Amino acid sequence: MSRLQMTVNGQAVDLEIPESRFLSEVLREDLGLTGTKIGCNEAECGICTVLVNGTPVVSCSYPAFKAAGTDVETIEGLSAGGKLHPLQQAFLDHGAVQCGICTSGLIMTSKALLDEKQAAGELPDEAAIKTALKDTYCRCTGYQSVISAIRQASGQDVPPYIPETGAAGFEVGKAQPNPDALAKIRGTAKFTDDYQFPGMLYARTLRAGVPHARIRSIDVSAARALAGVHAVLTHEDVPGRNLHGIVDLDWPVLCADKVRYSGDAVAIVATDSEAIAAQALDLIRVDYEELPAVTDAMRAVRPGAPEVHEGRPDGNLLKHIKVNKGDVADGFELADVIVDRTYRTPTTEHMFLEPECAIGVPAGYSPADFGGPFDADAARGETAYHDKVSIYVGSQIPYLDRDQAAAALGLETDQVRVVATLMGGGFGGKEDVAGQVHVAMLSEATGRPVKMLYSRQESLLFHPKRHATVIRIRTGATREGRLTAVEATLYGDGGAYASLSEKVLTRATTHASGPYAVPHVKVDCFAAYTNNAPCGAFRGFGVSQSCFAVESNMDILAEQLGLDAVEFRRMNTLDVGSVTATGQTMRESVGLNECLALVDRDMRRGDFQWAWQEGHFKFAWGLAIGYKNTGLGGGAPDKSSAEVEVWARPGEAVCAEVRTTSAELGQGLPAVLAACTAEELGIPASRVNVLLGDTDFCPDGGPTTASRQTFVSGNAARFAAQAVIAQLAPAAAAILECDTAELSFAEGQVSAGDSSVSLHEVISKATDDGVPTVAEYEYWAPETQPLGTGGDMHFAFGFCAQAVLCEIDTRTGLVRVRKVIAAHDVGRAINPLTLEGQIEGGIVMCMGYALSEHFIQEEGRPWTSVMARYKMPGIKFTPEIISHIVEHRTSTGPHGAKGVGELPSIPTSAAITNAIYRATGIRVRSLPVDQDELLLAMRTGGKDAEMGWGHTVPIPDVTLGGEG
Amino acid sequence: TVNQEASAFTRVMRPQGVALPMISMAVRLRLDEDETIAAARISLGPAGPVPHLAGSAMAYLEGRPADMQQFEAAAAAVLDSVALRSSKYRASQAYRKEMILTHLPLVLAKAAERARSSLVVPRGDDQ
Repeated sequence: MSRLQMTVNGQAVDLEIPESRFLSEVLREDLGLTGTKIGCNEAECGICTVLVNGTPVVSCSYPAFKAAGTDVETIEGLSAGGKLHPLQQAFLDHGAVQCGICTSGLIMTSKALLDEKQAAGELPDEAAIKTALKDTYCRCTGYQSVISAIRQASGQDVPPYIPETGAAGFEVGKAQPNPDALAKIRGTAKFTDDYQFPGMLYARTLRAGVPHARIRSIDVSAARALAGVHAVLTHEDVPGRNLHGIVDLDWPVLCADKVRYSGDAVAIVATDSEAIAAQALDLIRVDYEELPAVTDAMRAVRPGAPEVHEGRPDGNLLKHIKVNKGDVADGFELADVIVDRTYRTPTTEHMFLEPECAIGVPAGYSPADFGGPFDADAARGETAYHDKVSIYVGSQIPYLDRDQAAAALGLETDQVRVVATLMGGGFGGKEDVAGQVHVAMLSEATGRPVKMLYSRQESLLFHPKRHATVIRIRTGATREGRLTAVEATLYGDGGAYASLSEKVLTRATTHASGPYAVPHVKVDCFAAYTNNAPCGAFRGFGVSQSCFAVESNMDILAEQLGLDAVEFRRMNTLDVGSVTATGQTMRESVGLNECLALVDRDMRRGDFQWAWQEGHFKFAWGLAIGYKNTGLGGGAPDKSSAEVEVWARPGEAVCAEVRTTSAELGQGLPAVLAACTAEELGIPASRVNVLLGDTDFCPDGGPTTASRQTFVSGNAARFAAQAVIAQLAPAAAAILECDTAELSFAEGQVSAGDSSVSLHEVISKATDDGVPTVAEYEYWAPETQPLGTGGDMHFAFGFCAQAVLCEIDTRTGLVRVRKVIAAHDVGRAINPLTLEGQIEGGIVMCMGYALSEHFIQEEGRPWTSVMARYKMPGIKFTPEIISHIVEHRTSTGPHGAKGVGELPSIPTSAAITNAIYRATGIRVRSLPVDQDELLLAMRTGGKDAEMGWGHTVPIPDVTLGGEG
Repeated sequence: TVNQEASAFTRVMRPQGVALPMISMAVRLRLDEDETIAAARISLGPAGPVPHLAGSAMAYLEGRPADMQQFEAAAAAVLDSVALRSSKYRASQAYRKEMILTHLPLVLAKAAERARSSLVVPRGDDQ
């Protein structure tokens, strides 16, 4: 221990701490300044950036004693005195805050830049901003809003980029910051790891480290004997069901007989400190008999492959998914040109910047028992009494977490509570349970709160990824340009456990003829178990994969037919009246042609050329279109419940609260729910509090997946608000002495004819009369039909078109995206500001899919074991984005909205590889693009790039329809 | 004179999960009064356990005019002496060869230009 003296946010700090502490630990743990976040602990992501004597440093790797005698500035210091720093205000105004986990890092890095420029009497341009922030990542925004916010904060006149949309209603359609953004920019927003319960223990998980092995024995005796260890649990200690899973129950809570991937959980410990937890893991002895591993989806479904789950009648074949429409033989008979290619997409990683964290709180916990402050009125948090096992976690499906934890604990579901905390990004990667079941078990075993925070490296090892696929697709068209048939065969690597593989790969299959009206379609998809990391939900949900194949073939066909790529698409696009591959007739809300026309118009402005060269750089445009269902579809019950309550407190304007367990992962759902509720009640959205994710206080919003929450929970909020109004109506009618049918509620007033009364007075009267001022509504989305029945498989689809301008350096092969023109048909923009954030972030994420991202596994062992080995796009690679919103409203969505979360992240990759082809004549068939391969092909006159980066074998041959 | 000596550097990176360069090249040139090359140093990496000092290319350049034709010949000469390899996920041998042939003449030309012009190069400007 040594004495550390420094100044933090202007306050003198004097601490006696271990010499080994890093600055982030001192700030977060010793000083409680949790506005500084930790994303990787490997000095890679930059979100922990603080200023030391004005210089940005990554505090996770900065020895605390290096800061001795310095002035340290953190996000909390920026708005000291209550006034927001110009950067904070600009981030708020520009929508540069989404999940919020990277916000303090971005703002502090930007502050150093602004201070430096100000001292030099300069204004930062885009290049300076990109250089300053090149090592600070954001996974949500795509950086355009960050750049414009910084420029505005520096004094430049740069307004927020808000796309044009239809006229706003009272609140719906207005661009406004997400309600939680203010706390995020101040650094006061609490994510799971920011909670410190009195008496809390620290947990860790022992992971297999081998991809496939039988467990002969597990010896935890030495770990249990270690001082400071409170519990060591194995499969023998799981009180209830030792399985979990979103669709299939096949994933052990703790492995008993065998491990099926390197990240499998074998034992868990709860200890006094993280250091002791690490020691305890080292003392656990597991005797493994290693088994041959199968790590390739195509090999996995061949006879004789090692079985991942023994005893399944279909072996490693998780599911054979089929789409059939018409007769493809007839269709190809009609075709004048047929293009037949095989493509490959990589396993990819969500890289949400907040690693998974969960805290279990035991039933009967009072902070007072551990010397902490107790607040009898607190409903949740560190000062509250907890009457049941409670799990604090940032989760996309709180009720399912509750049910799965209850099953593992052997409890009834109402004996477990999930309290959703803010989530630092999810993108589908926080749907399966991570540590939430484990902390519940450990908290019950120890009688203490238990926190389990995954390191970035454990997060990479453990959590489900995006499916790697191999897709052979054969597309036929007449010489006039009419598509006649599509036949495709897909293999998807589901990894060790089912997770959402069946659903994801069903979506890849049903979308495998693209957003086109194709008369004859046959698609076979084989979802396989392997000993790789499980694969599950990931923004785009299978459609990002098949779109790459579909839209590559479309460009090849257009060229072979001698048709313009836009015109060829336009001739075949889905429109109202078209029938999809699954037999669904599109009856409304198909804005695809408008999207295509807008993008085409912008792309062809001026002296348009598809491709040209400047010096040693080749430039070219590439285009792709996409579509994505909203909602679960396929006959799955799809519902969301919301509760709305209103209050009229004396001396205050009317306020309301909307409650549901729909999850906010940075996509802006609270803003949508507040607007939908406010619109019905006729009060400002700023007067609507949004409470998400507490299963004891919020009705079930269902999973936050499939771009569904704006649609289903937006509707649930609307109808719940309408139900409240219906309850208030008799009180209003009594005051106005009229019939309830004559009433109208608008802008804080209730009117009938010429008379009106304030909503405040109506609520007061209703309250006095004992009329409930709260209502719950269970919204059921329009019914859908299972695949194969030919009915409506989905209740809505979003559509989009994207054109990208790529630059290829002929001296290195490096590809950069310079500009993206996008148009998205979202039905209705409930909040154009947060909507634009989804679009820009989705595009940049899909750009990473095309150009840099690959979670590499070598025989079931991740090579991508650290964040430094997985490059998502940084600010330096972000392109200019021009975004159009198209609003072909749905009749059933809230105000016509149909969701947008996944749509932007679907066609970008194909647009990029189509641009690369136009520039170089080389067709990239395997993602991500490898500049090494591309350059060598350019130098040798090659036509094909079929390796991609990170793959070690060429794309395998695929037999259409599968191998027997 | 001092003003007739200069260095230049380049490296080729990739945007994927490999933090190390695919190849780097550093050169130093000293020119005579008549702008022939009095001395040349060329080093490259990765090209083995330690950076490769391209002796044959250096010897080739000495006494020759500082022009692109000679720089290209020097780059070709480097390929005779250097043992490049393919490293997984990072770069292939063939790519590294292409990068030497493409970029080494440019780096040499940049050093020569600096030597001629007495250009002071700000720190880090090469990257």
